[in-house]
Amino acid sequence: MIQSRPRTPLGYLPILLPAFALIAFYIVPFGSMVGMSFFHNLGGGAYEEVFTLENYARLVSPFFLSVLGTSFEVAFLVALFAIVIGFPFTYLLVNARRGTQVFWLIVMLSVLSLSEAIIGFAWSTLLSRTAGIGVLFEALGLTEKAQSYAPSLGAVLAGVTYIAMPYAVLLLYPILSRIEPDIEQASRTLGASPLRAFFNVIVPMHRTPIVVSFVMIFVFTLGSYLLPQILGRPTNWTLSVVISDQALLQSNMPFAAALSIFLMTVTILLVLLVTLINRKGAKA
Amino acid sequence: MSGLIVENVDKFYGNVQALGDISLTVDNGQFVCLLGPSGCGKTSLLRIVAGLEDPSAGRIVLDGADITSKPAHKRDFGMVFQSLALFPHLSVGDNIAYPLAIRGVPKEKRRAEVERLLELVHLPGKADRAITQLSGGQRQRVAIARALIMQPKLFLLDEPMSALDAKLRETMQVEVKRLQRSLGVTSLLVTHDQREAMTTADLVVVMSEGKIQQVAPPIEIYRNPANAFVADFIGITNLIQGRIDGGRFEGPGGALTLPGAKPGNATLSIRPEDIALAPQAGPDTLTGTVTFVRHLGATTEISVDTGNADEKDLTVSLPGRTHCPLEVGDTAHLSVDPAAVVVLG
Repeated sequence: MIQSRPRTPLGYLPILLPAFALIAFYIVPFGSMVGMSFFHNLGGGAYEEVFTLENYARLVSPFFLSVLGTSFEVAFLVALFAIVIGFPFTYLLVNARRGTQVFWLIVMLSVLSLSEAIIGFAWSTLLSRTAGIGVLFEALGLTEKAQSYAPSLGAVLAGVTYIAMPYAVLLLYPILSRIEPDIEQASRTLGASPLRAFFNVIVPMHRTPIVVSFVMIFVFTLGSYLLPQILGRPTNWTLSVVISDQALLQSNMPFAAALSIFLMTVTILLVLLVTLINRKGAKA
Repeated sequence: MSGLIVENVDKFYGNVQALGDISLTVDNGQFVCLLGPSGCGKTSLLRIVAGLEDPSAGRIVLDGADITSKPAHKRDFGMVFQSLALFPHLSVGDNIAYPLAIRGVPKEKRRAEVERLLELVHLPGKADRAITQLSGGQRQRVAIARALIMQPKLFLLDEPMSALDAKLRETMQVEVKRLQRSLGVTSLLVTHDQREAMTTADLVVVMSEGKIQQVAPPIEIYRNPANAFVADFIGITNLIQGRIDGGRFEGPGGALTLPGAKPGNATLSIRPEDIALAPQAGPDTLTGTVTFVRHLGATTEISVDTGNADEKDLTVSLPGRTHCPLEVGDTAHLSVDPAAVVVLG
């Protein structure tokens, strides 16, 4: 790295603007949120600037524990589905012809370009009683009468997995595309059927990227906000939904701030965990 | 019928023909080398035998049974890949034991077998190492041990030594041959390195452009090449075009007596070491101008321009201690042992 410091104080001028932007738009709001999380709520949007831990104490109430539980459950299951579906899909993709690969990667990127609101309403239509797959099931004779599948936890999981899927594929694609075809063929000549070779060699070989992708999607899903409201019942609401509910509807800014700080802390810890796993994986 | 029989195998990739009507018999216990330049189809043939690719036409028969449509994992062959394809997430021992684990062999027995194989490839006690802790040569041995642990009916090697440095490669070639001889396993090795083929093979199959050019023991391939391609590909040779009439060959630079040779146009293949210097021109000498002299220590190589086709100078190789009075520009008279001359049609 080239190390040359500016010779005059004037030389530091170019970094003033980004430094100011960082302080004004990131550190100050974050600091005020940290401060806010220790204030006492007076109700009706007002709060008292005294130091209290009551907002954090409220986190352990049964209601918020159950919200936390739901958030983690949704994030965990979505990450699980995205990897369980995404890993074999990506493995097939990297072994497919170039044209097929390009086609599916474009499809994945298009999904990312869709607005979450559109995805949410599309799924709620798809899972509705009058216009959704329920009608199809009835026509096929699978169910007696068409029924609605949304709102429900399943609907939330389907919608969020749909959004998480492209991330899973795009995370795994560069790693899986580096596998030598010899590896799979070697296990076949040694007596493993293609399916066993996949589970015996390809999957365990990629333990580290699988865990890393899982945690990345988990973190990404932990903040999902719109889909649980569109596709879920209030019992399926995640922490992010409750934060906006506290801040906007209940006007309890201190508690909303405490919830946000908590969510962020969990996220940072998980990202640190990923970094650790990655470093260990790189060493092996 | 015992051994491997390849019967009239064709292979097309789209419209491109990679193999054309390949037939080959490998007896049990034999070590056969598929030798040829890159793109000659040798690897495709090996992969078809392994079951990793299907032939477009033809059959593969093993010990009398047609295995053409048998999937690779049911053939019970051992294969060593060019990249070795060791499993990075498994230890040395688990790599070697992989074929046993797949077949549900109990752990105790696996452990014992792995030790036996490690002993065999001179890596005793290394079962618990990670693959990344091994050198290139050691990885090679692990890949060989893994391919041999099932006591395969066929041992396939796809240019496994090409990644090693020259010295290590020679050591491994000798070792592979010794191992194969002591186990008596039928083996098929693909290589473009003729030294490797000469070192290991009982039978060399020379291939070019998807066709078999010659099948013969190594020394036979060298001494009696079937055609100009084989003569040129195996070692160094001088190809001289000319005409045979009444037991005498007339070509650029002079004439040679070849008793009993068939009359007509012919190409002669003469190895550089079968040519000697003659004191003066005679009825059985070739004459030309010296264009280059190389003192290589073990041998002295002289290039002589006899007006040969394609401006190809004749190469003469003399034992290193032979006195060579010639310098560039001198006229050289060359004598040839008629018994060492191969007449190609």
